[in-house]
Amino acid sequence: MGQMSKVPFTGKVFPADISVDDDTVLVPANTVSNLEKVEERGGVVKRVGSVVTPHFDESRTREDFRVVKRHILSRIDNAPADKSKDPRTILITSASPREGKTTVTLGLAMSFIFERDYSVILIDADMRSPELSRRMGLSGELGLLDFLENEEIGIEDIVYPTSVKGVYAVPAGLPRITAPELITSERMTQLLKTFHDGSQKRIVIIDSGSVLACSETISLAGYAGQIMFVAAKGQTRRKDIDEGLGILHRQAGPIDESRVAMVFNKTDHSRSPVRYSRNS
Amino acid sequence: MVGTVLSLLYDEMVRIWCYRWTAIITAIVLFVAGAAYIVRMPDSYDAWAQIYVPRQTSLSAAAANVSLGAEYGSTYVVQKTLLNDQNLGKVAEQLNPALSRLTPADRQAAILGLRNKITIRPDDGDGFTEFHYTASNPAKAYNVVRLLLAQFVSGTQDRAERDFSQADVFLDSQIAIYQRKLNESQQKLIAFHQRYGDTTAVTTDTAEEADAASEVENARAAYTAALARDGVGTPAQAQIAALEDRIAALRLQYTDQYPDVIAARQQLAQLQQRSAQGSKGGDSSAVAVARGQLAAAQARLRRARFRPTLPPQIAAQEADLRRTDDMLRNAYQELLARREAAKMSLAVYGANNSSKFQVTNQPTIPAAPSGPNRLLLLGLAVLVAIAGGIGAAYLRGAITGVFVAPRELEEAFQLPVIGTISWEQTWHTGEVVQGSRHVAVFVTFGVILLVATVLVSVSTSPWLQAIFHQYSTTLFQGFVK
Repeated sequence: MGQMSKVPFTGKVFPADISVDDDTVLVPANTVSNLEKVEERGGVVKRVGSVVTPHFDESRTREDFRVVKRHILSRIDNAPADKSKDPRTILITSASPREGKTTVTLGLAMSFIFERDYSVILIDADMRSPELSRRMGLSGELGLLDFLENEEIGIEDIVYPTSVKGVYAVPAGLPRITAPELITSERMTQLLKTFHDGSQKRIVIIDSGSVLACSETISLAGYAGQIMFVAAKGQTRRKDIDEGLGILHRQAGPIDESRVAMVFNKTDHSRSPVRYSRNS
Repeated sequence: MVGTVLSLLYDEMVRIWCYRWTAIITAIVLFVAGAAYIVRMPDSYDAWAQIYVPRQTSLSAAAANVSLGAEYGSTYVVQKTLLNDQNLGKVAEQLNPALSRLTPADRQAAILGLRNKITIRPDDGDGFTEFHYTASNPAKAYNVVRLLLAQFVSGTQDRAERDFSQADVFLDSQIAIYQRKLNESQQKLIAFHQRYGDTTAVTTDTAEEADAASEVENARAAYTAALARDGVGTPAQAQIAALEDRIAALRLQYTDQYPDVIAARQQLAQLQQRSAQGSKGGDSSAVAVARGQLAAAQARLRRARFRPTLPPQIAAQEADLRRTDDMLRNAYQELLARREAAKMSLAVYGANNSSKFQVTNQPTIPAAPSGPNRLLLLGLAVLVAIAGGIGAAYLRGAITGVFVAPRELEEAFQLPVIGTISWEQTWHTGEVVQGSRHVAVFVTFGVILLVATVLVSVSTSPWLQAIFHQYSTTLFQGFVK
């Protein structure tokens, strides 16, 4: 705890950030600052992540993501107050690689453009293949793993602005062999808590590796209040999903309708009718 | 309901589409294998013979209206009489002299093999029948058909001769039998008539009876007139005459012992007695003559009315005898007519049956192969390959268990599917290139396989080689010109 309080935060990470309780937050209140500060690090302007999803203008695809977003928001609104896991932390995962997790993450982020009340923080937590970082043009930049390992690095150092207003990105950082252990560290909990602190509504979307391939994903699922399980049409095998859900269930809390939802990806077109919050 | 079924069907199609590569590769492999097999199939040669067997024969003419089973020249009869074990055994032995030294089981197998490969094609319209035999060796095909035809010719001649003699013997024996029966019947009839009289001579002539009756009337009128003229026409005389009439009438129906007859006779006797006492002078001669005539007329009427009656059993016996006699006579006459017909048809067809059947096509050694129809088989192979590919893709989809509809996902895991995301190829910058590369790879792969198939086929099949040779020659000549 004490060790954590030594973390040198150079300024407010987010603008309009307000009261942060010292007892609950390990980061000193005066170090959590505004979002203007994330634009530069030590006087040097940071790279700007590009949130580009080709053909997002296609109204159909946009509509598809709006439906998913609406579900996520209604779950946040309807979440019980005593919920141990914050529903604003959303983990995007799948059973196997290449099922479209990063695409769903980016699309979801784009769908928040017009949500004036919410800002979105995308975290690339796929340590094996940091696809999100690559696609946003933030490969090789300081990122999550660097922050978790090096206490010298502050939150504002790893949060990058993007081409879209209200969307911020946290790249994966340099790959490390200790990644699974770092993910389970207190500093990770602290990071997520910091993001959710303050009056501004923020949604944290974690793009993780596939359940069957990356052990970090299981640890990350422990933080997430909502888990989006992506399954690709004509690609994902039943037994892989079974196995993946089984692992999550055993190691990251109960898998039930209120916490886990599936997203059917790579359809030629949306054949199923739009459905709004069947549960939550 | 229909919508659900269509939706499920669509899902299955999508599932198959997910494994289109499996389908394509399986189809290509199947087709190449099938094509190689078809191209390497040996040529087959079809040797055939045609015979003409007229349906009408002397036996069938002789036995008109008598059922003798299937028609003589029908394909069915040919098949049954020709393709029996004895005939085929002979053919098989002639083809392969070593066959007689084999075990009965092997011999049977050889005969069965021969029978399965012989086809007899019927011709519905007339008595034409074709034998076909197909083999990869044209000389063997020719030999089998030649030997079969020889079997048929000898077998049919034997049979025809037997049939002719049978027809003759059959008719002669029947005629003899009927002749004897007819004689017996005649004898019986004669014996019957000798015993019971010639009942045929006794006739009941109603005309004669009416004639006699009118004569009685006339005689009575003459008698009454004579009595009146004689002046002794007393009431007594008239009464006597009336009584006599009555007695005569009664006697026609009753015997002398009948009470009415007895009473009438007594009354007549009294009247005659009284009349005799009253007129001692007696009758005049005219009256006596008239009375004699009346009595004679009455006697004649009585005779005319007489009917000789036989007892009913004897009458029935007679009718029976007559019926049998008539029937036998008719049958006998019909048999005689048939024998004439048979003799005539013998004269028409000839005694040695030379026109009994004709071989309308002698077998020859087939020069050109008749099969297999490789183009058709290749077409079928394409269809089978496509079906096999689709089947393989379906199987793989069913075994792997991929999801093609959000409904399936929801049912499988009981978790909400909160959205379906359309997938555009362009979402990933690399995907577009990758997609077109897939198509290019597929096309190249397919073309290479097809070329390989053609090359393998040409190098292994004399059939295709011949065609290519022909074409290349034509091309070459074109260039020279």
